[in-house]
Amino acid sequence: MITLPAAAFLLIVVSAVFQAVFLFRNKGQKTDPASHWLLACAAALLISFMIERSIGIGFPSLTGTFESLVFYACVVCLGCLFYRLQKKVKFLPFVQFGATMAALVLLSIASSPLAPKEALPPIPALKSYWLVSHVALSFIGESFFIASFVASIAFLATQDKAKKKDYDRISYTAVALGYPVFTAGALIFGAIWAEQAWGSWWSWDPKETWALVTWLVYSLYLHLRLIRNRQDALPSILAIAGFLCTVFTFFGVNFLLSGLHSY
Amino acid sequence: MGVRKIISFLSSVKLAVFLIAYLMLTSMLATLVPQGQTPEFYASRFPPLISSLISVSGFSRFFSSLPFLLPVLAFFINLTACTVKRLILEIGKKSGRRFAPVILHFGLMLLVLGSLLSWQMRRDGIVFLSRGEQVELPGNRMLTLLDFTFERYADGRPKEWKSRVTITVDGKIETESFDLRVNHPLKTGSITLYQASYGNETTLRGIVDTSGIQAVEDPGYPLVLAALLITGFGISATFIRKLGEKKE
Repeated sequence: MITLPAAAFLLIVVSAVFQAVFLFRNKGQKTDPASHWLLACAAALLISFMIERSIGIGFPSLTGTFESLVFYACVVCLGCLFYRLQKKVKFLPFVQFGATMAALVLLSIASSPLAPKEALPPIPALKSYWLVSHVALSFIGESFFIASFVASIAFLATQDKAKKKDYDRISYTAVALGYPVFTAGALIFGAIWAEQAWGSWWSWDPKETWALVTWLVYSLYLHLRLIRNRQDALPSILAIAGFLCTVFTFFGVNFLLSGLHSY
Repeated sequence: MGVRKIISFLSSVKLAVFLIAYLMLTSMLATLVPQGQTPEFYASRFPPLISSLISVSGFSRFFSSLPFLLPVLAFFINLTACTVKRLILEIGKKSGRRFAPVILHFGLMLLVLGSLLSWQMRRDGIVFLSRGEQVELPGNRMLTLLDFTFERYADGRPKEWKSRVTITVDGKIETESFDLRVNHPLKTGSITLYQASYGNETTLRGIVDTSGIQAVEDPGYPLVLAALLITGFGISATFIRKLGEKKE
């Protein structure tokens, strides 16, 4: 029997193929009519999976690598849908395509042996709604950073000044949305949870330090934009580095450094 | 002129950018070197030159060493100068005042102060009690462990550690039969009690379970919490406003 995340994965693959055809055939001039609805269906499947699993373990299913990857992928899909439907910033198909690919990568890792999939109720340290908010908001914030990452790569890849301006606008808007959410989730709720659970709001644990490094990279990005030219490459390089920091915080720290965080 | 130049440098975005970049890069490096270990540990893990450099330079305790603390102090001065300058500028304006970034930076100033206070003043200790045992806490308080249970899931993983405790102050009951659990600490006076660990000890009655209860006194935490909330509010307000402007 095919599982809900596997079905979601297939829908995202179809959406990505659809987008790729339109991107390369029409050089992004004509936008495909349905890829975002496919992503919306994938998100709906992932949401039903998370609800079912949460009921099973009697707690919001955000208490391990696998569960947080499913959540993260789901938020990215919803982000794509929202980006496509909104009218405030220009819709650039390449940004949606990049984010779709990111959702595929996240679900692939979730399905790999790196992420144990057993549905287990949480250990005492994880039974906290501060923890749930900490994890959920961190990944919602990081989903915006994916958009900024993709837009920044496109910014560096193009020579066209008008296009550069569009990509820069997307990248900045994504950071401006993601930065407050990430700050609240990763740093503020993280500190409150740590104080409730361990009696210590900050421990210089490698994952904490890397979350702080990520925050500093985006702080630098925002301040550099105050003093540098908009066509300058440096902010884009920082937005790329910032996202790579979130990747390292999530995966690298677990596999390379030891610390307090189990995921 | 000299003084004005210094003030303008201290409050500049350029200095902020430089300090943020420095803190970012050095923090990154510090996570690659396990912190707080002995010189022997580094000697066994790194080449001789690097291991002695780590021990001598203070990089083994980077976040309490001067190469971290001095730039943090500089950052605090930069933040304060910039925030005051910005505040004066905004008050002088007739319309279109933006106080959100000022609030955000003020929150960060408080966070630096709260962190230093917490770092210097925080005290903790852990006691292992078996059922019925008592321990004296600061402020004429007495902690009694009435009961301790360790529940497991069917597969053996821990589900809950629960210590039923009573606190008395000067012999009078302050909190009666409180269930202390992980993520459910108990505040009593200036200290907070946490369910932190468990163990067992051999007594005349045989082997009995013990509950590890941690007591923490952190006078910096209320300031840290306030700072985090102010910063969070300031950041949200700053970007809600910025994104609103984009529409026009």
